[in-house]
Amino acid sequence: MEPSDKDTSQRPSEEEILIYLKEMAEEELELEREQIDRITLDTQIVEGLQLDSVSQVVLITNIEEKYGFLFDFEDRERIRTVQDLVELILARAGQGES
Amino acid sequence: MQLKPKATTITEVLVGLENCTQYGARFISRGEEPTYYPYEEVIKRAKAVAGTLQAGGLNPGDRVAVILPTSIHFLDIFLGTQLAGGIPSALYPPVRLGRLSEYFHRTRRMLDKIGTRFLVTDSRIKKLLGPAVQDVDCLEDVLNVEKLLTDMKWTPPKEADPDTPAFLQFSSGTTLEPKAVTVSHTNLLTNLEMMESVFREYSEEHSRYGGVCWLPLYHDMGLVGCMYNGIYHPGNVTYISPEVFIARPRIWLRTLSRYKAVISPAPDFAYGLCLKKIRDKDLEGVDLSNWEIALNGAEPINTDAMTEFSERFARWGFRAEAMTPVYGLAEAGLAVSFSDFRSRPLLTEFDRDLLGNRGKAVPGKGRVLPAVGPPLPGLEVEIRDEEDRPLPEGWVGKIMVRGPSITRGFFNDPATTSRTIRDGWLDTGDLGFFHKGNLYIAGRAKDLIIIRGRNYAPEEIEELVQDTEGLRLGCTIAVSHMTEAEGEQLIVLAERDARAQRPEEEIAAEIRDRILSGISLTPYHVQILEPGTLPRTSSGKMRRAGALRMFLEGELLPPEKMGVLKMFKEVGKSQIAWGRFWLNKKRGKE
Repeated sequence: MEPSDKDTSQRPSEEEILIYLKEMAEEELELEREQIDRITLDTQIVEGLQLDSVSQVVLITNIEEKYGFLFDFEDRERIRTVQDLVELILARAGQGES
Repeated sequence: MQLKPKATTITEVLVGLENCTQYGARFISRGEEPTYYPYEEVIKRAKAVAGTLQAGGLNPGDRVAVILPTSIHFLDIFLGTQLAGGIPSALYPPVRLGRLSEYFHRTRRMLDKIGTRFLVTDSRIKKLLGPAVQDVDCLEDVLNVEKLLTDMKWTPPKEADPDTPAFLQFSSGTTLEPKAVTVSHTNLLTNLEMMESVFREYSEEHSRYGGVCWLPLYHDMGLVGCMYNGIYHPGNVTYISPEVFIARPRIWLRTLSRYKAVISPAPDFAYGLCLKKIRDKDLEGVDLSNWEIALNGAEPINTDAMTEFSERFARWGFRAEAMTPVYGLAEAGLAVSFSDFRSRPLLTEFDRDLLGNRGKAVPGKGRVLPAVGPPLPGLEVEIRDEEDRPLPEGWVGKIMVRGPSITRGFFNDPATTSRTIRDGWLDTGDLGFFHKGNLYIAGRAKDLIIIRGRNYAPEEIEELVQDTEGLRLGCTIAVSHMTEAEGEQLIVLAERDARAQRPEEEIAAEIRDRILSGISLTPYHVQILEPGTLPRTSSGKMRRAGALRMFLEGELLPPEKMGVLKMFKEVGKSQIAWGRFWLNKKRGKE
């Protein structure tokens, strides 16, 4: 499945989100396999995955497209770990623009 | 050559478009849906904003900061402020994850620098901006863009003096102290006219196809190169937001194809990003044959990626002749020189050693550089040595530019102004030379690091890491290096503290983390060196360019010491071998 495919028909589960994030990490963010295998809910997104500003934009845009909502600028500031990201997606998936 | 812009102020140009229904601005959403505003409507909206600002007390000459994403609202406010006689300046919106504190800090300094009276933003960004605006004394109000489109009547202000500022352009990136280039009406209009001399032969049909812009509008290449060019020429401009382009570069090429656009500029990294991210199947039905000018500028050009782009996308009609290396900077209005857009990029290989060490440009083996063309009509370019004496063709020196589009200086910054502009000549801070009448860019005189079109002062990166445990204080340098595979990249060379027990990998990892969280950049390479290895000037300051050259050539050896000389040499050799291994590995991976 292509990471950009829209799929907002049903609420995603935490596990599905993690799988999607790992897929994207490999295909779009071009992280190394070992790095991806080490991703857990506690992983710091920026520091832990060494995401530069371009990769951050790619990450955000992909999630927005996949789950059908737009990040607030406040959301961006709040997100530190994978857990934060997953929680945000669970809360907002399919809501469109806040 | 006589340059005769079609107006003396940008306000005059804007008012001249009030009945223009033929061309306009089109915005493409991330779902590739277009929304089109003919210039007639663009100007009507800008007038509404101008009227509201005037009613709110805006006086001619007041500075208005604009923090907005690429949208019709950006044009509303930027052009509306100009119609009201105010001076707009675009600041970049927050884009990253986490770590907003340094965004706030920098935004505060920018607002302060130009004595901002009003800041205009949208409701999403506004919610967040509190800390950036709270201590800015000059700032009277933060206005919501949605509330400025009222039916207040616009009163044309007294005609502006063409030598007063049309807008203020902050230099991109995060260099230590924010610097705002004052771009006067004359600067802007003469530069637009210079570019027009290149586009003039274009037909009405060309103007209708127009251009595509994904560049941020807070960047001079987006603002002047796309937005104002579209308004001045006039012609259609199709806008894509930079975030959409970064995540989906294919949308750029598809949009070019869809609207048969003839012109679109981008910095070097964008062409590389297309090569990397676009799959063949993304381009079904795409036809790039109408794209006549693919301007390539704003950062050092990777000639391999440029050539590869032309070769690969030829299948979809891209013509190698369209690729057009250019040179420019905000201080010059924008454009300084364009290579010939009718022919393929002129690449010349120069003797690397003579170029690097003797400052002489002689065809030979080593460094392939693209010609960026002769100066545009109306501009003079001189190459000068360190004592400001002009150098003949074939010698590398500082690139100096003079002409009516050159800024008179930086806003509220006499020190930078007098350092940069001398007797009407702009010191661009870049190094270059002429060869057979064409300008070539050889590097930068300042140690400025430019990655993906953004500038970073090396000091700023060095400060971020200087107190890392295990490092010798003040003995770290940040330099940029043009890599074959990935364009301009950051390299950090740091001397370790002789007493430190901390493993080198740990020190290097902390350096990476600090740079990443500080400025969202991943260093290409971090090298930990023995104490005393980095070259210094007689006054003890680090010599960045010298250190980089020595590093790349494997000459960064620790200082000789009695007794342990041999051991140090071995350590040095292994480090260099490791460094080279790493660089090669990184290159080989592509």
